[in-house]
Amino acid sequence: MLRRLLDWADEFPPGRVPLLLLLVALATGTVIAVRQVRSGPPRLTVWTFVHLAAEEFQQRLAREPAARDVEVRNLGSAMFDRLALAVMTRTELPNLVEIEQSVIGRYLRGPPEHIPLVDLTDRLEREGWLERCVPARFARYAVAGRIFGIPHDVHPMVLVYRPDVLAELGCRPEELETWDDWCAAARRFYRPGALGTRSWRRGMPLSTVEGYTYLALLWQRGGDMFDAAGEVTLDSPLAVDTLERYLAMLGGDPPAAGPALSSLIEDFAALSRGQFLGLLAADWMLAVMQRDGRALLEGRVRIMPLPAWERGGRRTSTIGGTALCIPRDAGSPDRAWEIAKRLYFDRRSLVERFRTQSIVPPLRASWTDPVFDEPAPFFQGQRIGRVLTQLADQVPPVHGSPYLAEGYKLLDAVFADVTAGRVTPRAALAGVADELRARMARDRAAVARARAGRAP
Amino acid sequence: MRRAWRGAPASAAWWFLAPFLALFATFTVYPLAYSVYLALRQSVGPGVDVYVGGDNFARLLRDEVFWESLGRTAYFAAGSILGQLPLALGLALLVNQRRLRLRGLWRTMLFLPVLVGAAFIAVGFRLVFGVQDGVLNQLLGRLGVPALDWLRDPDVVLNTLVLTGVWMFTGFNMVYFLAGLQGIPQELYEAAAIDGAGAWQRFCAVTLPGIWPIAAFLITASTIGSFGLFDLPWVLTDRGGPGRASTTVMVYLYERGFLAGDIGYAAAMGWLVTLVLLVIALVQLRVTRARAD
Amino acid sequence: MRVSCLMTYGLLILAGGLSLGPLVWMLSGSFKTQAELMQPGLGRLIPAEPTTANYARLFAQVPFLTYLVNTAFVASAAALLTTLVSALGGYALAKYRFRGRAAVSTLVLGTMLLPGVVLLAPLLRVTLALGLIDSFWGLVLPGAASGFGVLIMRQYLAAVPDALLDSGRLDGAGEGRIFWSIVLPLVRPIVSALLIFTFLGAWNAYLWPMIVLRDEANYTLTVAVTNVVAALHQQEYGVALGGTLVSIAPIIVLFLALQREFIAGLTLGAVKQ
Repeated sequence: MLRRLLDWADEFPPGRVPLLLLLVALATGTVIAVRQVRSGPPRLTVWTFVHLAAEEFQQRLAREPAARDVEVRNLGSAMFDRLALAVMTRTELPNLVEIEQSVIGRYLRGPPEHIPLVDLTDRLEREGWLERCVPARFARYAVAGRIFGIPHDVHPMVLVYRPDVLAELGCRPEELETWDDWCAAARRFYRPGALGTRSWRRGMPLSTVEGYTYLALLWQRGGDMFDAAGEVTLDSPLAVDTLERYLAMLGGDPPAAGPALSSLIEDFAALSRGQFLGLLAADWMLAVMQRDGRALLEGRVRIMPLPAWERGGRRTSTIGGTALCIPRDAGSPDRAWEIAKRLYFDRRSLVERFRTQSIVPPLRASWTDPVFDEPAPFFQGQRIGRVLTQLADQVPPVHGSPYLAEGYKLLDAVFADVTAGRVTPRAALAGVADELRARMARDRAAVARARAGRAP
Repeated sequence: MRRAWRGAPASAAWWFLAPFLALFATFTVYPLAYSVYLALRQSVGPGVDVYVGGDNFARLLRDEVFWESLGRTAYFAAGSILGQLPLALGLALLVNQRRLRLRGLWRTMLFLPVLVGAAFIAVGFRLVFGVQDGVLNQLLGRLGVPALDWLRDPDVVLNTLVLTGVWMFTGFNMVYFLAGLQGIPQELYEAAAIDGAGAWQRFCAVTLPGIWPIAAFLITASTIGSFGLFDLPWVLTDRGGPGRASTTVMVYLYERGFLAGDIGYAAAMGWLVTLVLLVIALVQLRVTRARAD
Repeated sequence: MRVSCLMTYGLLILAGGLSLGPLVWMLSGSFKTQAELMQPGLGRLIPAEPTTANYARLFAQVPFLTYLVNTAFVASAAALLTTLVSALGGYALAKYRFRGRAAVSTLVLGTMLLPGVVLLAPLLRVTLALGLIDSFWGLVLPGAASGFGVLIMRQYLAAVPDALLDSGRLDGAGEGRIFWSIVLPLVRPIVSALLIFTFLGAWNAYLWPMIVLRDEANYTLTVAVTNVVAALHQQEYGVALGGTLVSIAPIIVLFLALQREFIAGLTLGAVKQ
């Protein structure tokens, strides 16, 4: 029987392989055709790129009978490319989308009438949300004073350390008030050794190839890549001096810091082995630590505010951030706004968000919730919520710009050369700043020409 | 009686060609033309799109990042060829030996990596390349070799890509060489042996010339493939990072075109790269033709 | 002789080990618990606490079967369409003399130099205009006009003796029938090889499907593995590894079953050159 089947298959002129593939195509094609069940009424879609956020939104919307037709989709790391394409082709746009701060610049480019996101400034002002949230967080998603996104987080930064290691050095966390204090301790902590071995000791990991840790320290000090007017300030004396002090931390004899490792897990493992004195961590990293570093660090670490640059100065910084935006061409902006408020300003969700992701919400009123006073066994019973909310108000503003992503990229491109000593900090930062200014000027010229061409 | 071939009606040819031409025109020729149009324009955000003539090309020629990425791509192409071809030839020679047992098994084992797509490799190879706990560094440590930061050291990262490419494609090249080796007539070897040639001399006099056409083809194919490389640096070393250390031309093109939004610049870049490739392909053709003679 | 024998097998075992090593390691990792994977250090080949939880999670929470079906359809449809179109086109270029033949050949050859990413934006506009976004045809059609396919089919079809075609015509067969019943069976090896080649390429394609597919239900395996699995289980390596292996497995099975055809067809072309 099989023999006859095979013989018949051989009669097929192109041969057996095409026949096999034809059968596969027909079979799977049928399955797909039968499967096509298109949902009925048009839905409101919400896009995010983090699984936990998607879960949080779904749980929140489940409590809202009027939001039965809202669909939450987690697109993972491809969401940014997908969104860029959707905006470019003006199809399949979500009604609400969470955009990360390093990417949002792309959508804030060009003349204001062409920004593909809805201007939320009036709604936020009118309904009083601006005062109720930490104002510094809106700057990143704003251009020329107009705000285009609701901030998701504050992301205060702390230093995670092992109290027993610190005690061995004879220090107490209260004594380490400035970076100078901390570096002195770190220099005593240092032991030489090659990467990949278990014998080295370094104060903390600082990136030698990417600029984000430098930027965090710059923001703490009050500097920034752009100012509120959107002008480039990366080559300011403050920025140059901060970079020089960053290099001094990495260099010096002995160094106070070492190069970052390949992944968070490796950082946790090194901390657990006593090879790092401390880790720079934003609030969300604490949840990651509890989830993935449980075996390594549970009950052995505590958090402390960042040492300040000068006595009495700011004791925190920030890294990263996300905002909820409303694409302009997606339709139903008012409804989207209502849903956005439900997702981002609902106290219960925000408390839950802190509990599962240790992310401090920008809505100040939610900080009175008892969850922020719970002692965390992972951190030796420390009330991390309280530490974080106290720092949250101090978080420095980071100014947004359509060129933020490019600024990051340009800085990263030159950063390795700076840390290797091939370029001076002044020259490197000036180079990045000049390139950004050149691109801004070119785009302004193009916009002016386009406007002139359109004028009657 | 032999009838002269009247020749099939030319119209039949066009019918056969029609599906191809239709698809070709829609999905290759038209986008080609459109990209020429784009290359002459600059866009700022979704609303602004102005004609700038040859400005994109002028800026490209002055764009250091572009030329650096081109250099990196060339390095990757050269590294791939030098890494893969001798190894593939060596393996082919091993597998081709007359009294080898389980030949099919060896061939299959060595060819398997070819089947794994770049996107899938990126997920798994993070395990291999981690600086502190990755498999590769752990193995090197046991051999007394100092660890390297495969994914984050800007001086190493490009070599990581080359290494991954060697893993992915050596088997492919080996299969080609095998076929080529099997195409060399035994008599040539026997004649050389009779003339008193040793193993190495037989290799140089018989094997290499016999293999040359295949090697030439593989070199050209590998070069073109290397210049189009996008998936691997994008997913494995995280979007051409760190910084620009593994940014090949295609990654830079995508970054400027899709992420920064200047599609015109990206289109101009694409055309410039094609031109460079054309020159390289012509040079290679010239060289191989000379060698063959 | 003994020594070189040992060396040969030794080297082959080493090379084979390096080839399969990462895959085997990934396989082992897919059966490890998250805790064991996060252990610093090399880890064991055989997991200390083997678990199938990763795979269970994969198939329960992630509609992997759907992605598998999608990818199988796209890959087989792409392979069939591309090969058919290439065979037809190659036949025309090989066996007919007509005006414009040289022009078409040159044009096709020229476009082969273009790396795919270059045409990305314009191709996207075209695909959009034709309404093929988020559709499997948007994945299958753009690649169907393959310059490589046409040229390689032309090379093989040119070798078919004209006498056969003539005798077919003398018997009164139409041109199409001649192609289908007489010529095609003679080039089965290259047809199979081209099919498998295209199938493989479509199965592993990443960038274009990522751009074109919107609805999660339409994802192919490459998109799914890198996006959905990585997003859902951001730091859960075991599931990501399992997903990767499940995506590679069908291709490996196909290859093992059709090895001979694939390699024969692939290399026949090279030797002829």
